Parts: sequence; structure tokens; C-alpha cells
Amino acid sequence: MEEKVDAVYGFVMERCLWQFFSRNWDREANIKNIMGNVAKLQSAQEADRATNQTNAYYADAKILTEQLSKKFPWFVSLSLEEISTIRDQVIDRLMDVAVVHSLNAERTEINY
Amino acid sequence: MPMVLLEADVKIPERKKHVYIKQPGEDTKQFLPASNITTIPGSLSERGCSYCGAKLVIGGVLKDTIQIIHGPVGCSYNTWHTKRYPSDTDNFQIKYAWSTDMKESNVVFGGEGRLKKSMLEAFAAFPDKKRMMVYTTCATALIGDDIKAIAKEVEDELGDVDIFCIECPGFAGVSQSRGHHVFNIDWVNRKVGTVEPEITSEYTINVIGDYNIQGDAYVLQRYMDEIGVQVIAHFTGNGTYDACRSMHRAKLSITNCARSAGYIANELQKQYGIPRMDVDTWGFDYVKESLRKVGAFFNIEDRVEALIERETTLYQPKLDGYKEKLAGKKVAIWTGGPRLWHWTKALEDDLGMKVVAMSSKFGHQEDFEKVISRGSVGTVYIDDGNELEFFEVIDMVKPDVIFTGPRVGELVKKVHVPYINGHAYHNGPYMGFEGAVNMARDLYNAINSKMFKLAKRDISKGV
Repeated sequence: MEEKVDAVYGFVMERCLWQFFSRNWDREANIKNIMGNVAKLQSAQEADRATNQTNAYYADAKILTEQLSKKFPWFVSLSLEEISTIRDQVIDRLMDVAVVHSLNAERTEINY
Repeated sequence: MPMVLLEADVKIPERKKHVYIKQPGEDTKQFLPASNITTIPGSLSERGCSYCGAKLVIGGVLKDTIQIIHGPVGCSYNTWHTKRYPSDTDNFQIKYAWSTDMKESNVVFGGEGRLKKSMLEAFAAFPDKKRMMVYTTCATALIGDDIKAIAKEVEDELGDVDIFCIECPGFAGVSQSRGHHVFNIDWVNRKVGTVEPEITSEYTINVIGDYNIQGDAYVLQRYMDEIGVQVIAHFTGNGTYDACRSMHRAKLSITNCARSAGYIANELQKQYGIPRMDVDTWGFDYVKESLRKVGAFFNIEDRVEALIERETTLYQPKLDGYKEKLAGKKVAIWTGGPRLWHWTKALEDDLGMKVVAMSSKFGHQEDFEKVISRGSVGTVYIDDGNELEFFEVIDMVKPDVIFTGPRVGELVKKVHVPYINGHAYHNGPYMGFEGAVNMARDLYNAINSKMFKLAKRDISKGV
């Protein structure tokens, strides 16, 4: 499982931009909502699309889910328990690098 | 080997915190170059000024707006024609430059009268133009000319004009980045929401942080037209003043240059609930991803896939042809900031090239988080690089070609390394599928230019 978490985390870090938005609160919202939706979509659950904002999280997650499925053949056959574990651990690592222990001094400024 | 003190910087050891060479297993929690801080005295920076960031990069792109520069004439000239952003209004914004041409007596006795006269003259000279931007510069900010009061007088006097004032003199920040910031925040707070657009599609977006360099915005507009998405505003490539006032009516903002325009995307999200979606509109594979995100947002994936299939059929063989010739070639990217993270993986994945060095003039630490995460181990990452550092890095990594601007470009030409204008391109557009091929072609032509090989010969010595 650790290798799979590494693979998903590594792909997100190389490919995505949303974990590095301007401020901590945006980064956290993106990380949790997009990775949460990736887990839902992988396990054929519906994502929240009620507002433009939640729809944007869905769109990012949908494309990422397709990319992960194409790049890692094992991704499509993960069980609900496995994808939940991957989701939680990838979220933890993204939060760690982009929010909790980021060296970026600007990310806590209150204004954009 | 985390942060590196180059030999060129022995006398200015503070530079060590700006230079990083990535090692296996390292990430941005451990090492992140200092950036967006004051240039160290003694370091010959390539940065621009804050006024330049507001005018040259953002405001000056608008195709229907008179741009009055309230200051000495050089401030106008030097932010006039150095970017190649055309428009479909016969390049109005490139053809003309306006300045109040401040002289010593105006500095002593005040320049407000001169400003008002210039504004009225400009509107009279271009009677079909009803929109204007006025910029303070160092001289007029220091003497305290109240440009907003003058703008109000002119608006009241003429009745049918709208004027936006940008109070961001050259010294307002450490680089042009401050100008981006001031322009973005003032625009969203003072102008967005003051015009209602005509809505022609249920799918509406803002295209943020693209400046129509050699037609980039035309490519994006064509794609959006084809999939039935209405672009409410281009901020600001081939854009209009009033379209940018109506950005509050879009359902989504797609953001390419998050450094120069992430601020307005954030504020649109905060103030109007319009989500910010960051995309890469450079890079063959990235463009597919970006279009697919838009398609997923609006549930129009079928239209997007049709577009991607056609463009891929058309351009993939051409790209592959260049990939064969460019694979393994070493490239440096020494531009403003965002192009580092937009381009590094695109050049490596799409073309098989090796990005060996990257330098950012005005990027913030956010940009370095992105680029170090995307970039390769062993690559040199520099903030606010100086000339001697560039020479040293060229010796260190021996690039086959360098993307940079005319300032550093003139420098690298002296050591006979081919360069491509990374800010304004050689023969763009570089965005979209066709753009990725154009970029590959320019890389191939630069690397194989016989002129650079001939330039190395010293005919006085017969070699």
C-alpha cells in the first residue's frame, strides 16, 4: 500500500497545481475536496456538484482519477478500503508539504 | 547539497539562499529558495520595476484602452513595444504610446495640470476610445500628484468616459510582481461588477493570466468557441476594458499565469463565488488536460474530446517529428516565474528534453514550490539570478538552448548559446496544440542555427 500511496502522491506533486494555491485555506480546501472526490469517483460514488465551487473540485478530481487509472493499472481495481486509505494518506502528505510544513512564508497572509 | 553559494557570489554570500540544486529525496519542506524579496546590493539583477508589472504585463495589453503614463517619457517608451501582444483592433495598444512627458518644472510645480491636459488631448485625438488607464511613476508618486482626482475631473467633464488609475510607482515593490498585485486587487475592487455582459451561452468562463503573446488568446478563444463556452473576459490578452469589468458573471475562472493574475482569480472566488481552476495552456499534453477539466465542469466532454482528437491528429505527428530531433537536448528556462513550472514537464514529457537550469526574476515561493515539485533532480533553481551567476551556470550545465528574455538573451548570445525569447516568443503562438509544435520548431531552429556556430569563429585568427 505504501508504494501505491507514493505513486499517487508523486503523480499529484508532479502534475497538479491546486495543492499550491496562494493561501493555506485554499490549499487545504483543494487537497481535501479534490482527493475526497477522487476516492468517490474511483469507487463509483457521486461527487457533490451543487455549486460552482464544488463542481470545480469535481472537475479537477474527475480528470485526475482518469489520469491515475490510465497511469497505474492497479488503481481501477482498488477496494473501497484501499482507496480510502490512499485518500487519507495522500491528503496527509499533501497537507504536510503544502500547508503544515511548507516553507512558503506568504501562505498565511490574511489577504490575497 | 541544498542551497548553493556559486563562485560568482563569494562577495555577496546572501545569494546562497536564492540558489538551489535539487537532490534525490529532497522536497520543498526542506529547501525553498528565498524569493520576492529585495535584490541584494551588488547583485546585477535582471528584474523590472513595479510600474512595469502593472502596465507592460497587464493593463497595456487591453486592445481598446488609452494608456497614459504620468511621468518622464522613458517610463512610457520602455513599457511600450517590448512585448508582442497583438489584438484584433488593428494592434491599437501596440501602435500608440502616451506620456505626460514630465520635466523638471512639472516636478517642482506639480504635474496635475499637465496630466489633465494630456488626458483630454488623448481622448480628443482618439474620439472612438472611451476607456483610459492612468499610471503613476516614481516621479509623480513622489511629488504626490493626485491622479484619481484628475481622473474624476476628466470623467465629469467628458461624461462618456471611464478611467482606471494605477498607483504603483516603480519603487512600490521589489520587482514587477508588485505591479501585478496592485493592478489585480484595485481592478477587482473598483471595476469588476460595474458592467453587465450579454450572456450568450450557459457555459461562461474568465480566461485569466494569458496575454495573447503572438496570438495565444486567439488559440484559446477558438477552442472555447468550438466547444460552445462563452469567454466573459480575457484578463487581459486581446481583452477589452468593459469585458474585464464584467468578470463577476462567469461561472468559472481558468487561470494560466497564477503569478501575475492569481490575485484576481482568488478575489473572484472570495467575493463572487467563482471558482479558480488553475490550468496549463502551454504543453501538448497539458492542453488536453486543461480542456478536459473545462469539459468536465460544464458536462460537455464530448465536444472537448472531438476537439482534442482533431487537433491531436493534426499536430501530434509534427510534434513527434521534433521530439526525435530534440530528445536529450539540454535546455535552461530563465524567465519571469510561472513559465518555469508550466514548461519544465512539458519540455521533458512532450519533447524528451532535459531541463538543466531554471531562474525566475519575480516568482514567489509559491512558484518555487510548484517548479521544484515538477522539476528534475540535479536541476539548478535560481531566484532573481544575476549576470555572473548566469555565466557560471552556463559553464556548469552547458545548455544547448536557453529560454529567456532580451536582457539575458543578449548576454548569452555573447557566449554563443542559442536563446529563444521566452517572454515574447520567436514565432508563436506557443499555447495550444499548434503552439506546442511552434515552440518545438523554434527550439529545433535555435539549436541548429548555423549563425551561432559561425559566430563562434574568430576570423581574426582564422579559426
